[in-house]
Amino acid sequence: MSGTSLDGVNAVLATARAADTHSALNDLAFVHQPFNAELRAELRAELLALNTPGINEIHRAALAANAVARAYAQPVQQLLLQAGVAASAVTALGAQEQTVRHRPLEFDETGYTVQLINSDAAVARTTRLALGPPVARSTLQS
Amino acid sequence: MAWLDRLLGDDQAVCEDRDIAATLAELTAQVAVDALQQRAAKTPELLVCDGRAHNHQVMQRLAALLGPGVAVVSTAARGMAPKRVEALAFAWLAQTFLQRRAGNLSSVTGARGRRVLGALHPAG
Repeated sequence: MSGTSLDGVNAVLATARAADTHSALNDLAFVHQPFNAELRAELRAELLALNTPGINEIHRAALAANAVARAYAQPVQQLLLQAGVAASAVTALGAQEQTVRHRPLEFDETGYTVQLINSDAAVARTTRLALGPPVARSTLQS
Repeated sequence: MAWLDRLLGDDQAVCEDRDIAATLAELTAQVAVDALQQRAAKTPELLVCDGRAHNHQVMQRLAALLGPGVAVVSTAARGMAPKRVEALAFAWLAQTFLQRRAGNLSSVTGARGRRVLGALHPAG
């Protein structure tokens, strides 16, 4: 995940003792991949811009979602290599999205939240090593 | 930084960098202590993660504001490197989703109730 500061991606490989219980996670490996200054400035400016109305937002949001997915690919590959674990052994990739609009309980109390990541691209890009893990998109805001 | 520049305005020229850094550390500590006292006033121990755990000033201010009743320690003291905690939180959220358990605290997020968070994108 990268978080609101957008300084880079922190990726952790963790195991749970049992899949069906509320068990503790054990971290096996950790990778920090800093964003290069240019990507950081560009992505940050665009995500910030998408917080407010603008031209051609749907297209721009889709490209930003692609950029978020691309940013996750390398650290995930690196993590698997570092831990010597095949992608096929991974149950799920929990990927944080980037929030651009969060309007809970508004508009007839239905509200909405818009958070960007192209999860299908994230799967495609992180599964070159072997059979792919599913991506569970997780977010702190809902 | 843009946020900080805006807040400082014309005062930027007269503020020393160390004073700005100390003010930000104080803000970080105050906000954390306020939240803790509102939500979990009886906490005996505060585990600090991420960069804050390496920031001597923040750790010292947290300890001073919370007083002797609360131990302020890095998560490293409990076996987890501070920089890994946030990433692990998302592993926990993914695990919680896969088990279809609620992952939110509605009092924090403004949601009406407890909800399973996230979406699954199966590979292949």
